[in-house]
Amino acid sequence: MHPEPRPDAAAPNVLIVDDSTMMRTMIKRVMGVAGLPLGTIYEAANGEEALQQLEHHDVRFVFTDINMPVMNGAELLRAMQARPEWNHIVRVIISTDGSEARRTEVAGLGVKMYVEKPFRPEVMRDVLSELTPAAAGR
Amino acid sequence: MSSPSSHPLPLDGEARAALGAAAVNVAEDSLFAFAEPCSADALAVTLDARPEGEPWIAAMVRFRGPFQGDAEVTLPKALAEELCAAFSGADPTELEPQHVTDFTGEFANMACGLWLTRMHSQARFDLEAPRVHEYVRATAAVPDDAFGMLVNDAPVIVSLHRGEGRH
Repeated sequence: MHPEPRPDAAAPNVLIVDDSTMMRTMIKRVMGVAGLPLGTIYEAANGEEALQQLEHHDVRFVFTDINMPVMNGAELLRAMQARPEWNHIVRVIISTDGSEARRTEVAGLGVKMYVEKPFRPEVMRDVLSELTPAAAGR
Repeated sequence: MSSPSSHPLPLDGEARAALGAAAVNVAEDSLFAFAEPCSADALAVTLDARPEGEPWIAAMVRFRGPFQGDAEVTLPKALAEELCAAFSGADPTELEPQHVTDFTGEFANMACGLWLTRMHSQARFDLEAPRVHEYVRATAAVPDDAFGMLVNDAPVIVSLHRGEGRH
């Protein structure tokens, strides 16, 4: 549909988890135009697909929605917590649900940042700017 | 899952206006569109000017929490296609029907989620996957319970319903 961001082999890989194809496309697009070094951007439509992607790929950042069918974002984060080898993966929520109750629910699940939808493209750039140096230092 | 509702869904004009304001914010922030609320009279005029037999698309999101219901966004399919292209960065000629369906559902999902967060920032709501359908709008009449807005000068109707028995 549009040119894919060219992956940087030395840069961190990203996994976007959202049940909306168009939302994943939008997030991928704004990541591409942010101008920051990113590797391959993988996609999953729910938590279950995300776990499969994590089994097969070296991912540094997971950006996940919360409300999804099959396995939601909170369930995904709990499943990731049960895998110590994934402790290094940075977890970011991207959700329409910005309530305190939801933030509290995921606060103990290793979430680094919480982005509320809708968001302007520059918000994603700022999030990646904050995360990328930390990841590069690992 | 949150417990069933213990409070009735607010269906007053203020609640609808708040949902409409959330939809305006979504259109401006994520859809790169010009959006503004409009009066019922202005909406009626705009609807009357739409082509006869024009396809429309509606997306309904059911939410459950301290109260439950359905939030619905309806708009001309041509506008949905235009916004979908802007949202995704796709060439409009390359859009597939499922892209527009998916996008319209996400539009409603974001509007509903933003509205609920603003209305009850302390409460947790669970949102079901959007239900999207196309139809031919047979009348220019504006539903009494609707909130009207203009997005890129085209009409968008936002409404709230108590959820029980609608599906």
